[in-house]
Amino acid sequence: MAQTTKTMQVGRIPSLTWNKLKVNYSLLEGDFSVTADVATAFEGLPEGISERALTGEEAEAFLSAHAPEEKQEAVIAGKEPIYHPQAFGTGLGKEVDDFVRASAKSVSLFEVAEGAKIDTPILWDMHFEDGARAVTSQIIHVGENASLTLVMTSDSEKMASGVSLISTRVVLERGAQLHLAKTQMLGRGFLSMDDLGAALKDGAALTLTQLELGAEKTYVGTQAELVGKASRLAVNMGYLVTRRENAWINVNAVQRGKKTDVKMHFDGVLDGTAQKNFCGTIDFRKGSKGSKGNEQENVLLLSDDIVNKTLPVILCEEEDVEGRHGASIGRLDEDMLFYMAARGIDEKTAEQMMVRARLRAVASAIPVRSLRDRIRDFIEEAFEA
Amino acid sequence: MSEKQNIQEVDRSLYDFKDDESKGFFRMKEGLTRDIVEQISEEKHDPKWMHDFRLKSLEIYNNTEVPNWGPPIDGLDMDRISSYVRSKSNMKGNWDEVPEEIKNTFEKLGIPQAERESLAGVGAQYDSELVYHNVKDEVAKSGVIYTDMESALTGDYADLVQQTFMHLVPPTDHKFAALHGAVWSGGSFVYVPKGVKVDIPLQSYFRLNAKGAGQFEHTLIIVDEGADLHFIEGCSAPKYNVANLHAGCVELYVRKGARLRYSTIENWSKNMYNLNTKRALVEEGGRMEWVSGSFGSHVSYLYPTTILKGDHSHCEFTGITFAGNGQNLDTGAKMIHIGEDTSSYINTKSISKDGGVSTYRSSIVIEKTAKRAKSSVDCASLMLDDISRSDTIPAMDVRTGDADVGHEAKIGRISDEAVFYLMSRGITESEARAMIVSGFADPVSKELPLEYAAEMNNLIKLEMEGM
Amino acid sequence: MAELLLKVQDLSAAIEEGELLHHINLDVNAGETHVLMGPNGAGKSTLGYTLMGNPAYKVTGGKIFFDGEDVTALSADKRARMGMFLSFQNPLEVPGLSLESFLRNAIRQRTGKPLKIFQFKKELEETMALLQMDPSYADRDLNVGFSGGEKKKAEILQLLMLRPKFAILDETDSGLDVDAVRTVSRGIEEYQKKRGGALLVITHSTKILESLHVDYTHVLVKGTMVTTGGPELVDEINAHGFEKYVGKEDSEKA
Repeated sequence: MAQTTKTMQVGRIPSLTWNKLKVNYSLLEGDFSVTADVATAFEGLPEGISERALTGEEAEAFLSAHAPEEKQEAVIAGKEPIYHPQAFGTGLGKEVDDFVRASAKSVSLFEVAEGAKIDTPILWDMHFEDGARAVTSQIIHVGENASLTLVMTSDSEKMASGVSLISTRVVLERGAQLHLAKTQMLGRGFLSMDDLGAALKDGAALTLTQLELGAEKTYVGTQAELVGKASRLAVNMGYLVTRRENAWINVNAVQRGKKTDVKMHFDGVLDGTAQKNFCGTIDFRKGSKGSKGNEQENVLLLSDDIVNKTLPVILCEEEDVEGRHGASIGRLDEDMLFYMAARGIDEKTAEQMMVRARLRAVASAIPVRSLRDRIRDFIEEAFEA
Repeated sequence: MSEKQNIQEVDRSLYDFKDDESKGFFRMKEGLTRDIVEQISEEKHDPKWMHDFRLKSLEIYNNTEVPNWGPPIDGLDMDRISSYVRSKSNMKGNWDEVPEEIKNTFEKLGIPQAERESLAGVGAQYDSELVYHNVKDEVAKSGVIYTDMESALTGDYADLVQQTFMHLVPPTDHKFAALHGAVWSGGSFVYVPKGVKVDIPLQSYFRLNAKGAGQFEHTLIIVDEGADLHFIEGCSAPKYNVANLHAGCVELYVRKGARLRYSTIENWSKNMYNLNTKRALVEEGGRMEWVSGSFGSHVSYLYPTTILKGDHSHCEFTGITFAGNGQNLDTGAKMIHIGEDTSSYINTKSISKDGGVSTYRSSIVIEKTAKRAKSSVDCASLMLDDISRSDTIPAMDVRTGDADVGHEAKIGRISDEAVFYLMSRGITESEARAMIVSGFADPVSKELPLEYAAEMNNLIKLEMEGM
Repeated sequence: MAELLLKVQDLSAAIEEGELLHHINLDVNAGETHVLMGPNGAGKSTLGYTLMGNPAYKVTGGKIFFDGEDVTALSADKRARMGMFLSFQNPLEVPGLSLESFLRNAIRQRTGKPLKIFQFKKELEETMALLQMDPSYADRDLNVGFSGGEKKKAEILQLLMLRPKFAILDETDSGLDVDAVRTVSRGIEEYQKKRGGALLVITHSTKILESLHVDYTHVLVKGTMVTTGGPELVDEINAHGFEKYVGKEDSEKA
């Protein structure tokens, strides 16, 4: 097969800033042509859940029917449109989306029927072979007042290489609840792209628990549109970037409905010569009266050779809102070190304990014990020489 | 509070008186060409290096794109901006010799009075040239140099000027820095010798009275080792219905163990494009303090930058931005930590009202060499209605594990409860709201000398009227 | 024969903004209980932090000896491993780290030996019962979502599990209701009586002292130790306040 190199603009942030900082978007060059399929066969799905394949056209039609309406006048601050034109917005943006559309054979539509409360978590494991380049695309549609916990895991052998592009679109009907847990434990030569777009209707709630632990290059993008009144988004993300790895994270919460609520918490650990770029945006649109948005990123720096970039952004065109963002970047907090020391724990040990604690705190929300154990083991291994 | 209220209220019309330009004014024709730049250079009797520098800058200007971020500047057409306007008057050292009309303008702005009462020296720029410059005797005796930029180019400190002029802000920095390099005119040069502490402030006042003109003053301040200075900059202009442009440049050198406080109250008229660049370089143990109030302008791009080069150097930035109807003010600060144990602190407030757009934009860069650097940012935004807009776009770039960087930002509205509480004590709603906004701005106003804090409070009151 | 455990010799300490403690002297023998009282802002917590080695407080003069060794320059973890302990007014929250695993780590570091899991579990269970803590707290993240009272109990639990020779209790009773004070007191009594531990109790109320045997009382005003007395001093201060001592610190200095 002929080598096909391609350049994509990935994870463009909503509101551009100084180009010199190199935080506006990432240009990704490489051969992404698909060589492998990742099997997603489900056995014995509980009643109320169905899964079937859609053609590209069917998927587009489905998504545009659920996409939020974008008012042209909404964006007045900058000279560039705030978001890229995408029928159904995602965090990694249009070029990644176009590539998925061109590459994915089909789109898997995973539906939960109206009113169905699925108590047991559904596990969706994706295992990648060494050298595999795969694109998977799925739509998760949770019906009115239905609820689901979906646990997606991608992994490979520790030293494997390849490309994984996972495109997940989520549509939550009125009162629907989805806990989406994504864990990435790919091998040390992988390029991982995880692109998420979500639309939330009245009273819908999306909880996203995400752990980005493996891969050499990691791109994570999320765009959640809180269209409905009193819709809620909770994001808890933990990431571990060590050795020569790099990570690009772009998470946007667009608050359109009244009384929407966004809580986003990011906990990261950087070691080695790792480079990480994080942009988290709370975007209060006109009409989002009574909404609240809160965002926090805590980054623990374990080495002197890291590059950490953080952009916590608030965009606001509504008066009656409360927004807050915070970031804390550095070594362990002095008060914390002293507390630990006063119990006889030295700095190095305290640091090791805190790294594990931070990531475990995120993992603790995953309701699958065996996966939590795998995550613990993966973290231990990541710090081995 | 009561002291501030006692000071006479300022009327917006105060800033709005205009000139009859038919009388004795020299005005460069609009647009920006090599000929025009040559002509400015000739008018100003530039040394050769400056003449060449201007042409080089023009070339850079022509080859640089406008930024792809920030507020729109489509309304700014360089072909309609005159880059050089001066009255037929040389610079004076005595207010009595300043032409009547110009003197009246500054009288109305209270500059001569402030000079008598509370300043160590004053420079007053009118359109493109300084018309007045004076330093109190005792300050001059201590060796402090405070002069116009043109005199500095040929005076005793000519070499120092040549070694520092646009070194902190090179014309390649961005398009409007290049523009400044090509057509700059006026501004001040200050040199404070080693160990000299100037205990009352120096002030420059910039007034752009001409219609459809640009002001491109250059301020160069060198505070030598162990010295101390407070410099105040004020800006205003009358309102015209065509665009005016301000692309000044401020370069500040804070040497070892020195301290410089640079305070600005900017109240350009609301047809002004304020594309100003300010930068400070701080050596070992030096301290830079910025106090910045942005009230005027149609569009602003303003991010004073501090390079903390020396170990243990420190910078504090305190700023407030009030964007009202028709204003899109993009303001903030940049900190670049290079030295070890450097520290910076940013505290800003922004207020949006009547469809105004305010953006807080910042970048904190901690270089690999900046071991144990600390930086903390605290910004708060207040939305006064639902037709305005307020964005917060801070960036942090950390390249050493040894840093400690924190950021906190909040956005919200005036709390109904607070308004109710004040009203229950007999205060009207509009007064209550104005009081709350003043309280919000208080951390900034208390950093200013009393007269300026009063002016700022009055500006807030003016902006809050009619709510 | 009393064994000298802690010796504070002419200790002065400062933060960036200035000196907070001036020429403090204090001797604590093994098993003794000392009470440190003083008005708000007297520097009581500062003394606790300085004894424990908080890097935010710089020793500007004098020395601290513990167990016959000069610990003035030692880091807090080394002091803790020698048998010093400080209970915090506001213990820190650590999401992702359970109380139990924190204790295990701390005990391992203190003893330098692998932990006897069975014995540890049993002791933890018993101690939590003594402090009327629900056993589920062992699995909960350290101090995360704990109420004020639960945080204080968790501090006393650490005190009992880590078995220090000398403990500084910084306002352990503040913000607690009557029942919680009683429970916490029981824990402290246990440490004092059954384990023979020495104590420096920082407090400005006396509730917590009711059930404790007190050997000495010290009064700190504006960073200066103005008087030292027996247990009766607690009652006197309780009745008359600090008024009599305020102002005395100047003459002390002179």
